Amino acid sequence: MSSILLAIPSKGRLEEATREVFAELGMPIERPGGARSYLGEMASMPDVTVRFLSASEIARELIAGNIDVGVTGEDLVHEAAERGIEQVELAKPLGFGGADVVVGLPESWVDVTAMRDLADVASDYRHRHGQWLRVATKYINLTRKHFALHGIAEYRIVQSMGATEAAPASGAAELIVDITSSGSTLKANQLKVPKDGVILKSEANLVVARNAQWDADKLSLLRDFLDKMEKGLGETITEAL
Amino acid sequence: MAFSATELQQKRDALEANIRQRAELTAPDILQKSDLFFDLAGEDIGRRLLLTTGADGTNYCLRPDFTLPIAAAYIEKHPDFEPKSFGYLGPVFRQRENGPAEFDQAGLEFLAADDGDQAFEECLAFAIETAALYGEEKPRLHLGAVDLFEALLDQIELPDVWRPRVRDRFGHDAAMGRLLDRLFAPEDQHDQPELPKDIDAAKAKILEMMDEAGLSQYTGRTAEEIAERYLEKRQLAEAPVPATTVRTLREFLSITGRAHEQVFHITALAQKVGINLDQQLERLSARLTKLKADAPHIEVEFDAGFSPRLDYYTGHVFELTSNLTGDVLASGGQYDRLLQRLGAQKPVTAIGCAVWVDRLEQGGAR
Repeated sequence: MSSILLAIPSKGRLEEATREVFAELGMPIERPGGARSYLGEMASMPDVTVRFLSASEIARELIAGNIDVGVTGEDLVHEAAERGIEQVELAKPLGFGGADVVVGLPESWVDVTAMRDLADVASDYRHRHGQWLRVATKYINLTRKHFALHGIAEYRIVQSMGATEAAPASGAAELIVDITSSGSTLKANQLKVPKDGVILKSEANLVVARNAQWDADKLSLLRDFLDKMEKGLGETITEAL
Repeated sequence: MAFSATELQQKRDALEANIRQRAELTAPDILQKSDLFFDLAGEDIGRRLLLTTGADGTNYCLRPDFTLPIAAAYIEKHPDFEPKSFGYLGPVFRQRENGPAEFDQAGLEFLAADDGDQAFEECLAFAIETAALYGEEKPRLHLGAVDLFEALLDQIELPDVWRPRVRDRFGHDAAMGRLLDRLFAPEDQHDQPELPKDIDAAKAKILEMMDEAGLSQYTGRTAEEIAERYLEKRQLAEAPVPATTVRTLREFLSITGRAHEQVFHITALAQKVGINLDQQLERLSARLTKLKADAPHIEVEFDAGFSPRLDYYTGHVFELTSNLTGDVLASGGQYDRLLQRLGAQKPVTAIGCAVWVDRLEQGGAR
């Protein structure tokens, strides 16, 4: 008997919101072992095996095809691999976990209001200081893509795993690329977003792995599962796989 | 028809013999510190590297080309910059659209060459002979001249701050196009922050903002450079760059086609706008004449906008493309600022080329 493997975020607001969404759809997810167990159950669909994982791990495993379906942020799929987004199908935005990946620069850079200004600044900076302009971020793939789109080559990425917004003040980088939901962290750090500096509007998505082993049984299970979430979704997604 | 294993080996042997005849065969480590590449070429090249991290946190990459490791080793061993010729044949590693790739390259590097023109000709001859070895008898030669563009940019009527910015976009048509658009029709200023028009007052205001955000005055962009660029933007909006400047740059960059004819076009353009490119044009003409004598069967195309987007290139640059598939078979040029970027005190003549051995070997399969 085959089953499909669904991974959902294991903690915090993302876990709560995910379970709320499924409960509202009449597909509640139980976590019988409590918060320290990583196995879940979906009584309405016993053929769906539920596992709790961290959201970034879910993105990585979806790309690899080790899990079939998962709930994770689009930003995390982009970041897990340069072409990760092509390895998955974004089946359904879930209406929570909304956050924008943005370019953040010091408010005191009064001469920079758009990415084209940043292109000049990157070029000037190298000539003036003999160094690359540094961008602190954990979103390396998205940053490279966005900067390349705007023809900016004269910069270097400084990897930052936390408190990225503090990088300009600490001198670790001149600007940042980070995620923001309300913009309040940026504001508190006197950072601003240039007008074409929104790289991605991300939210939590139901994501289907293209690289999973999709045999006829599993495909039919997937179709039922998706149709239960939204009428007609099963057809659309299984065709796109 | 594909080449047989024996044929491939024979060709490899001939290729290696050709390299040895011209230069000292060298094999830099496959594992390289990645800073060398990031420092020199930035994130645009960095994204193509295959990276790994040592137990002590040092970042390494598989060599993505031979030029940088050879030049870096040269600087270390030859602080007096005596002329040296190096050759290489082996695998390089890069991230490609479809994933990581390993492929063989062969090439030459003439560092601190006494005669740059002769070194350039040697590179061209080597590339053409290697192509012929694999049955590409009539490849096309695509020629560019960074010196010509730099000379034009030096003399054209343009606020000085724009010269390096324009230079940095040379070799990237889309970015260059957008920058020229912006020079020609400056953006609307209504959504710009209001700041005093006096530089000192503007600077004071910016310092205040930096202070509030806890930004150091000593690292990163200074208040002065921000104020200067802010006012420069306002000035540009009030008094755009002369339309003739933008038109001349556009016209120059669009010059492409059969090489000898393009020299006439550039001469005419220079005369029309009163810019002296005599020295650079003479060099280009001499190169074309020599090419015609040495390789009369090769069709030469000159493209005034053609250049790798790397700011250490200084002179002529070339690509050899297959007449059969359109693939680039070899590329090279003069990069006198390379050794300077790696620590030399002034520009040092450097010329090199790389041949895509894997493409040539597969050529026989098509």
